[in-house]
Amino acid sequence: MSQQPDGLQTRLARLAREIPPERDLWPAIEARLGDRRPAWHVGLGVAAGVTILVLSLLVTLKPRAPTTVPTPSRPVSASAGAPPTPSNRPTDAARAASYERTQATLERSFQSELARLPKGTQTRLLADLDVIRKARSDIRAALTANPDSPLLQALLADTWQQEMEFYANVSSTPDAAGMRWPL
Amino acid sequence: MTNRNVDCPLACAALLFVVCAGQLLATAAHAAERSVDLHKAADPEGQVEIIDVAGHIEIVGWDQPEIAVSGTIGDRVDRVDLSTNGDHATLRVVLPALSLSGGSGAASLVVHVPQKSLVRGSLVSANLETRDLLGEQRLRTVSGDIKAHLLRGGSVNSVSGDLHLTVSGTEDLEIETISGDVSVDGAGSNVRVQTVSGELKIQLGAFAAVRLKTISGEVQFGGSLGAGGRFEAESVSGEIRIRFAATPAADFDIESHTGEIANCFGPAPQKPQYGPGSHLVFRSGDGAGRVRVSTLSGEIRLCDHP
Repeated sequence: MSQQPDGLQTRLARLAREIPPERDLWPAIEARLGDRRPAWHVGLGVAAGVTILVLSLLVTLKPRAPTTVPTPSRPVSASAGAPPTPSNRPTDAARAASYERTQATLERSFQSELARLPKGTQTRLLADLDVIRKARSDIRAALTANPDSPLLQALLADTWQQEMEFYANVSSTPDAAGMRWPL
Repeated sequence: MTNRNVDCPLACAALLFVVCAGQLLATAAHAAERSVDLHKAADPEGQVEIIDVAGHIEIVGWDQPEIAVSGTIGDRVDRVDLSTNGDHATLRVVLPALSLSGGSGAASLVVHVPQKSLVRGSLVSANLETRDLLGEQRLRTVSGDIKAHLLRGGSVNSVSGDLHLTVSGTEDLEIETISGDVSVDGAGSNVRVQTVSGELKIQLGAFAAVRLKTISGEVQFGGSLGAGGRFEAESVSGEIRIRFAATPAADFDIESHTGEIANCFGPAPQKPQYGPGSHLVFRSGDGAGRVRVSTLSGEIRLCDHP
C-alpha cells in the first residue's frame, strides 16, 4: 500500500518547479502598458467632467434670449474650443465634436446676452474671455512639456470651469430689457 | 462774397436757435426730474428685492417694519413700483419699453428696509450701496460698483463693477467678479472670491476657510488662519502675495510652475536643476491647518508678519 504513494511522490518530485513560456511575453505586455499613458486618462477625465458641467449648465440656465439666436460676432475657433483630450481615437473624436457643439451653443447664447449689455462692459468681457483663453493656451503649452504635472492638469481643469462659469455669469446678469415695462 | 454776407446771419440765427432749443430741452428735462416718496409695511424678517437699471441705490437697514423709498427719478423713468406679496417685497424702477426721446433713465434712491430682511439687489449700470443690514445680502450688478457692509454673509457678484466690501463675523461669503476689482476688509470665517482679471485685496482677521481664484489679476491677502483652517489661492499668471498675521500651524504646499516663490518663514523653496519654477512643501506646528497656493507663471510671496 505504501509503495504506490511513494512512487507517485517520487515522480512528482522529479517534475520541474517552473515551466518557462514558449516565447518572451514581456515585450507585448510592455507595449500594451505603454499605450496607457496617465496624461491621456487625466485629460479624458477632465474633458468628461467639463462636458458634464456644460450639459448641466445648458439644462439649468433658462435662456432669456429670443428664439432666434444671432450669429456670433466672433467665430467659434476650433482651436480655442478644443477640449483637452489629446487623442485621435474615433470615440474620443466623437466626444470632442460633441463637446465643441455644446460649447458653440453656449457661446452663441453668451453672444446673445452680451449684446444686451453696455458697450463698455461688452469690450471688457471680450477682453476677459481672451484672458481666459490665453491662460488655457499657456497651460496647454506647458502641459506639452510636462504632461504628468498635477499642477498643470488642475489649472487646466479650473480654467475650463472658469470659462463655463464666465458664460453662466454673463447669462444670468440683470437684464435691462427685461426691466422695461411694455407700452 | 455777397452770398456769404447773406448766409452768415442765417447760419448764426440757426445756430442760436439750436443752442436755445437745447437749453430749453435741458431745462425741461431737469424740471421733469421727479421726486419719489413711497412707504409700505413689510415683514421685519422678510425678503426685499430691488431692481434698477441706472443711477444709484442706497439700501439702509432700520428697526421699523416698513419699507420707505425716497429720492429722484429721471424723466425717462416710467415709475417706481413698490409691491408686497406675503413676506416678499419688490421695488422696481420701471422704464418704458420704447423711448424716442433722450433724457435720463436713472434713479437716485435711498431705500430703508427692515434691518433683518434678506436683501436681493439686481442692478445693471447702477451703483449700489448698503449699510446697517443684519440679514443676508445677495447683490449683483453688471457694470455698477457695489459698496456693502455684510454682517451675515451672502453673495456679491459683478461683471465689471468694482466691489468694496466690509465684513463682520460673516459666516459664508461668496464674491465673484469678472473684471472688477475686489476689496474686502473685516472678519469672515468662510470666504470665497473668484475673478478673471480683477485685482483682489483681501484683509481679514481670523478665518476658517478662504479660497481665492484668479486668472490674471493680482492677489493680496492678509489674515490669521484659525486652528485647522484652510487657505487656498490659485492663479494662472497673477501674482499672489500672502501675509499671515502669525505663522500658521499648517501643512504648506506652494508651487509656481515657472514663477518664483519668496517666503520669509519656513525652508527655502526647491527649484529644479534645469528650468524655471519653484516648489515649497513643509509643515509648521502641528500641521492641523492647510495652506495651498499654486500658479502657472505668477510669483508667490509668503510672509508671516506685516
